[in-house]
Amino acid sequence: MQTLLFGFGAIVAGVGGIVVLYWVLNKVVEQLPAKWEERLKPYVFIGPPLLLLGVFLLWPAVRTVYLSFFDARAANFVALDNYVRMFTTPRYVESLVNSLIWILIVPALSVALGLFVAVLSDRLKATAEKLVKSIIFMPMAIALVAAGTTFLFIYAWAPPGADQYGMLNAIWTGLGGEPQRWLSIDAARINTILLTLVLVWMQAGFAMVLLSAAIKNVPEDTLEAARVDGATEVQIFFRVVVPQIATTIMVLLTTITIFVLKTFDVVWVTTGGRFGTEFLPVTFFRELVVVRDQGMAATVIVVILVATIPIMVYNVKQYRKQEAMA
Amino acid sequence: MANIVFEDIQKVFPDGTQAIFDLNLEVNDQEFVILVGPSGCGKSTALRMVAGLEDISGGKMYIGDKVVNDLTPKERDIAMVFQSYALYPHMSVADNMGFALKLAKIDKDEIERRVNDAAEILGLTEYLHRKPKALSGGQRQRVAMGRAIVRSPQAFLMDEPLSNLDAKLRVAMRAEIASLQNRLGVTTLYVTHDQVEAMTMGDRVAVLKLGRLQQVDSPQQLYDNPDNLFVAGFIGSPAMNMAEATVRRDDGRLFVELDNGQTRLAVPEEALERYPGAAQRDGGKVALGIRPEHFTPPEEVADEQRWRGREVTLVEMLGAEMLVHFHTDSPPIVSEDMKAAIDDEEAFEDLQRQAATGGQDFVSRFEPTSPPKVGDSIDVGVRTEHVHFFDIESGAALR
Repeated sequence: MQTLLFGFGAIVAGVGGIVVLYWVLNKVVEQLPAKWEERLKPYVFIGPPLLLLGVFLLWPAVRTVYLSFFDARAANFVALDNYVRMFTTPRYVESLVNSLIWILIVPALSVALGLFVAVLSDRLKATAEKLVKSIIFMPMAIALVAAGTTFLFIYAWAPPGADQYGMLNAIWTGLGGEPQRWLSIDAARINTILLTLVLVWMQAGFAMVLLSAAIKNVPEDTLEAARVDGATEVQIFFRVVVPQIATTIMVLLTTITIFVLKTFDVVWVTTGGRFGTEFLPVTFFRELVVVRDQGMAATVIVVILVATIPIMVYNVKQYRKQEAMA
Repeated sequence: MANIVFEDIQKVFPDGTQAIFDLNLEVNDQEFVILVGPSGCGKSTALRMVAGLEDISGGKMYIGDKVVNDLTPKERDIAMVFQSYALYPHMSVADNMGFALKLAKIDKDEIERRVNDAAEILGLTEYLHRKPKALSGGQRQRVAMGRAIVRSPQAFLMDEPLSNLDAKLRVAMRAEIASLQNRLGVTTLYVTHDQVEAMTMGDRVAVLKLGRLQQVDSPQQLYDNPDNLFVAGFIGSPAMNMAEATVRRDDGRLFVELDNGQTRLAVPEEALERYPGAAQRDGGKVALGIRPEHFTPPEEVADEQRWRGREVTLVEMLGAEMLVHFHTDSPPIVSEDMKAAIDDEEAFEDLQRQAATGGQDFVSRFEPTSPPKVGDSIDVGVRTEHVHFFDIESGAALR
């Protein structure tokens, strides 16, 4: 109860503080001569957010890049040592490879599944469509930690002969297999791939919502024109519908890719990065909190940042394109 | 190329509403037939049934003597031009036009040749690499036409292809499509709600009202000899004037009484030849129709064809002609037929208001010489040999 009140109080104080700040600044500016008032007013309003972004986002980013050239205690300049270690030490290389698997699987599979569901649900009656979409969207609303824990149960292992309460093993043994410790199998990166499915499960709903809206925006008569032009339904889908929602697909792919590179929770609560499942977000956390190597942690972040920037730029461009079309 | 035949075609939508009733219509090979009617008359539905975009609930549809009821649009080999053009936004003009050929796995060089030929005909050559977004409305319309032309299909189906263009362009494209159809000789079924398009473009016009075919004829036949009140009211602009009138036989001659018996106009034999049924209505009320151009200056007709003392309510000078609106006490025809023909709720309500006051305004068309002023009292001549007679209840022509 007390925490609740405290949380509520924090919201009121936070929002109220901003209101008071703006009100006071506005009053001050209004006291100035009209000419100066007009000149200064935009900066009064845009200033605080710029200041906040600068202090809490820009400066830390610069500082991180700086730190990546220093040793574990941020004391001695080591030049590119951290980067050399990053790309030569097997553990870090494994982390990089796993990250690549995450980036390859999650966005593509989420969008593919989302598209599949969006197309199918589009053919349902309105109420059924709403219901189906709500159910599939629901994982989006679950905390990543909770989702990871849920899948921990799905992949759970019990000794042979005992009840297999893990769904995957229940199916597996039902088909005649021996119960497996799924998340310990790093052959063919099976455990990493299984973990990516957690995020796919969550992101497919997000993809579906956006794609469903995009599909509904495709003019019905272009489909009819294609039908008259002699296209089969499959040809219509791939040659008429998909090209018309291509920008949405690209925005989704890039957005989800960026999201993947920020998602440390799922792996942390399931394997903790053991059994060769570590990938960049987890490596960062471990370096910073467990190993306490500040230089290496910063290096990981810089690698993620450098990998994300081109995707981000592309994403923004596509998004603008989409806006321009709408 | 082929003919299109509707045989007892029915359309019932899943919610039970019937959109088309027993439609029988034949579009001959190479013919240009216009399907016209007010909004909601089922004309687009009829067209979409030919295309295979709408199921056929009953009857048989033939394209080129083949029953196509259960064929997919692809198997029917027809091309359609949509009201919105329905261009593929992600494809260039050339790809839009060549899409159907590409799907038909036609040789690349052949596609290019046919697309270029069509572009040549339509004046699109320099736009072939543009996307539809970068084209004007008229150019998009041409691309939609081009998409139909390159296929050399059995038939063209056009669904109000000009209604998204501005007035000036519409007139130009109207002539262009008509001459193109003439040149290519492709069987064409063209849907429109615009009776001017109907009159100017087609070989024959089929008039549809509330899902029922009213009359199929050449434009001039339709104009001169409408089968019923609806066709009479729908075809022609300004519309035919309609009023309740009483038929009188006197001394072997026929007269019509207007303005509640105040006016009596002689009707010559010629009119009776076209409407023999009118002669049997002695003393009865009929719906009398007079086209605006069948009014003349009084001195051009015999004394007993002059309508005297008309109050002018509005004068419209249109340059080549002038429209004079004048008042008559004869009540208008307020029936479902007229409502459908007017196809405009407000205009119909206006007519109902006028009916309540017991009179209405007639529109007459004259040479634009010495226009009368509003409020003037004028005499107008009526070429009664051209008047039309209809039954008030059924709306049928009194033939």
